[in-house]
Amino acid sequence: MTARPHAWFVALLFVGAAPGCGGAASFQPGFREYREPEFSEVVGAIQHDAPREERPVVVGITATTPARVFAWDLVAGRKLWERAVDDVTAAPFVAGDDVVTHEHDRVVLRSLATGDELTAIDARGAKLVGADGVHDLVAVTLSIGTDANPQGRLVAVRGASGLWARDVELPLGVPAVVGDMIIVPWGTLQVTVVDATTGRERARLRIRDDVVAQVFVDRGAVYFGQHGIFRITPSVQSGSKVHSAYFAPRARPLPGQPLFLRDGYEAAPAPDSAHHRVRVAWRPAGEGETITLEDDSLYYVFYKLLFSLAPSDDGFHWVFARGADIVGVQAQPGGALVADADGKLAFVAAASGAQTWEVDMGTGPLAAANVRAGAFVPPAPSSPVADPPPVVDRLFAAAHLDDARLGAGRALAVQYMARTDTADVTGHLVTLCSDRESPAQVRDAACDALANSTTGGEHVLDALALRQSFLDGTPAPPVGALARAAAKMTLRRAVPDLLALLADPATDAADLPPLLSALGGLHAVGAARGVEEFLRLYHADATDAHSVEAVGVAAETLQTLRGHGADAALHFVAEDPATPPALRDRLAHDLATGPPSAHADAPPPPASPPPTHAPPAHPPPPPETDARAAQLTGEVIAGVLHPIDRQLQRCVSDAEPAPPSARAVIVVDASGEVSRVSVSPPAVAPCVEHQIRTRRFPETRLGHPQQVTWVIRPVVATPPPAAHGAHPPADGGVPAPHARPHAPRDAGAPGSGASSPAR
Amino acid sequence: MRRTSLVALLWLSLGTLRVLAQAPPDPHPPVAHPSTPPPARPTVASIQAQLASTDPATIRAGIAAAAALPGPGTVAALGARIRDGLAPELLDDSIAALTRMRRPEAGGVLARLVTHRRAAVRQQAIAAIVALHATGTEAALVAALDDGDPGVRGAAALALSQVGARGSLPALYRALSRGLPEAATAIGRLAPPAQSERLFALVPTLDFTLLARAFDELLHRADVPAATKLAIVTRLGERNTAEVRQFLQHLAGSLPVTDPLRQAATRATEAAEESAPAAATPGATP
Repeated sequence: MTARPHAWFVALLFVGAAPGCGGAASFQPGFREYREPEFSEVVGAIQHDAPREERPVVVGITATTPARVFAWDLVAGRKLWERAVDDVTAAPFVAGDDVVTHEHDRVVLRSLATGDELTAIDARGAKLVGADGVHDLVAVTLSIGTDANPQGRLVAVRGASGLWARDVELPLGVPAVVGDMIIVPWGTLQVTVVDATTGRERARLRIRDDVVAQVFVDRGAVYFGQHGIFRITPSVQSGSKVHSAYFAPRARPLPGQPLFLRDGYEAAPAPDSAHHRVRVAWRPAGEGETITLEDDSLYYVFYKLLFSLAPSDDGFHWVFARGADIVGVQAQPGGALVADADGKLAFVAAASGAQTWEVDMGTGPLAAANVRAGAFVPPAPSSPVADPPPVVDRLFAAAHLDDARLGAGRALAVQYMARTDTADVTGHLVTLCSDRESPAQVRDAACDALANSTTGGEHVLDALALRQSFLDGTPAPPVGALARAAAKMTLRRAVPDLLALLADPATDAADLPPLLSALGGLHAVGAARGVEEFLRLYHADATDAHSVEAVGVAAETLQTLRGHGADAALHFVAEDPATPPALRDRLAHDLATGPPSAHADAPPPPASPPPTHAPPAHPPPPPETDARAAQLTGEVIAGVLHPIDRQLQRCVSDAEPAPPSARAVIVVDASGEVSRVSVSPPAVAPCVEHQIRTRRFPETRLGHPQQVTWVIRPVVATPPPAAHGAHPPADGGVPAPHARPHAPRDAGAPGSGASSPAR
Repeated sequence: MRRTSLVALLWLSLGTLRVLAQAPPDPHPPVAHPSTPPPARPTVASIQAQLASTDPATIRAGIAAAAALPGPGTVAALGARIRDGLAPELLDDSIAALTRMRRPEAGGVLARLVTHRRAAVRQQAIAAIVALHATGTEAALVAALDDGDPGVRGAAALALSQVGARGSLPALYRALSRGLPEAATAIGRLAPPAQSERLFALVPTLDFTLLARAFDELLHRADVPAATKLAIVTRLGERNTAEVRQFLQHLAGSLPVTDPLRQAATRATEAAEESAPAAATPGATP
């Protein structure tokens, strides 16, 4: 049987609802807050009457046409009823023994047990805000008035009969019923306790330092708040969250910015509102003046993903992914009860994030569900539940879900994953950062995290070795993030690939600045030639902002690598009118300020292994402050001799007859001075020695002379060899870096000659 | 093969090539005026000086002068200037000049420009390399088939057919399978007649409008025996799809009336239309 609302009640609300109607005045300006002894009496009554016995149910609305409202009994494990409804503007929720919906211009109250319509409230021009109830006593708040001047209406109903209604000049929030009292937040700061029978205001409190938008009852305690929650205890008389039983979670940016409690002055969410799919869920715990959250968990729903977060700090517990959107959630002791868009219920354990229970409600596709689980505890699984995969792997799986709607949630999973700095995580980040099919949010988050990784260098090197290929269908690697990671990890083995990528047109222009910065950060002296080629070739041909920036960074990198040896190239570029003006100014500034100090951004020394013994009895020596190189390396020698490469080559090629190569043995003293040069064959010795003696090497910490060997090959029209092979082609230019065979990764950089310390 | 090594190969071959290319005759030789001394003939040094300028007009004059005086010195000077960086329009002029100069010494700088960041420059460099027609050209062009820019890939494929690089057919087939239209054209121009079978093998997996380019080229080649062409048309007629019928109609219309191939294409079209289902839809594969 479907009972129609009583006509007298509709008429009362439509015609007669007005301030003052419903008995003694309430919500009036003159009512004194915290008036004693009434206030203490009310607090005592609230604490006494708050415990409830509620039927654990799920009520929801299907995503079908027509939509169907249903109720599911959690304990019995069966659907109680289902009703087709039209024009539902608010998802159903449970209030006492009723199910409340907003259908067209009526707020409909149905029996939770049968689904029969008990009564309806005229809601023309009004929006349903909230409702609560104990057994057959139900309080409903509506929003009336305009958006600019919102006002509230409170309606009390018992069974199928209306008790009274009251319009208030300020908006009303979500009420709660305790015993024979209706507790209503209003005007964002106040909470009024009204006698349910008479409508008379019994007590009022005002909070000075927080917003009050909802009141609710949980396990014998009454709470109110919005950004945080107050428990009603005698201390609430302070009117301040500082001196009351109060809890607010740690503020943190979450996609969709869900509120701790939804705005209780807004209309209840529509069935298709994102609120059902993007929200937080929690349950208060603690006693007396202490409020915590159940299982120390703040659940965050983002469509298919359920994150468990630490309420009081920025901690993260786990992520759980459903196959369908989560459209309803309730925190329960021991876990979270979720309802998904496929009409299934599942229980996810708070401790592990493992799913321990699931049932299909048989409703078909769901739009929204409200779970009032009460004391319901899912039955224990019949067989042991397998341990879920490690949290990092679950985060990776969540971040990799193929659902573009989840972009922000997937990005959040990336951020939590990146908190674990392991090689495996770096590998995951490389995968996610490389996936060009992923939403930008996910890629950006992964690339940012990758750039800050400090372990897993092999993953970075492997990715840097990849190239875009049309024929193979492979995309370009995420060069910028990889380069930053390489620099962060001091991966000198990355230099050859970085150079090759610098010369590869498939490298995105936006990736060039970090790539060049990485070469500088790695102090890849052997890369200076490639950087100079880039600087010269593109300084007048930079057609977009990224390219202009890349040329600027190239100049600074060259300065880092060569010091004042870069001045000639920088002057050339800075004085070329074809260089973009902003770039000219930048280079002029760079030249004026000079190269960065030799050790300002020197790569950190490799990490030493952790101590395996007890700390030494003596205090540790002061940190190393000597910036001098330990000895001359191939890269350093190449950098010093680079400015005279062409002259040396001509020394050999101009000889008659030209030898296939020349070999110079150079003795450099500890101060960097060239003390002796021996060249073979003798025919080229004067020329080569003259050139070499024009150079000065950096000072070393050796404390004695060092002998190095340098091989010079003449200018011939042959491709350069791998080592010491950067010879110009026949037209006097220099070959492209990409034309060089890759040096072995552990060679540090291509182009270095053989060197050996003097004995 | 990695693009880098192929470009290095080109660099090698171009660098060692001995081409006895001569400078093209100047179409506008200077006319001596009886009352004024003849202008000084440009030298490598004077061209270098012009190229070293920062004034665009002077650089452009230097580029023109270099083009008019092809030789190792001027190529080297122009190559060095390119490497020192030029504004886009001057770079275009320089590549055009190197193309006209037809000197093997230009191979090094052109190989570098095949990996320039601007696709238009890469295309220009490919055209210039083709103009040099060195033995390493094919390798460079095959490498360019892998380019990220469709224009560059297309230019490379057509250039491969232009230089008759039959050795590049495997790469062209790969490019075709990846959907490069110009690869189909190049295959049609290069493939031995017997390879028509390989094209037929691709019909079930590739869009026929792509393959039609290859068949069209193949059927218009003089070196493909008439019997082979007839067999191709017959087999195509058996594949009764709207695209094939449209292709055969187009083929028939492009041939002389007396050409037996035209008659075969017409017959195949008519037979196909007679047996075609009324609602044959484009793209349907029998």
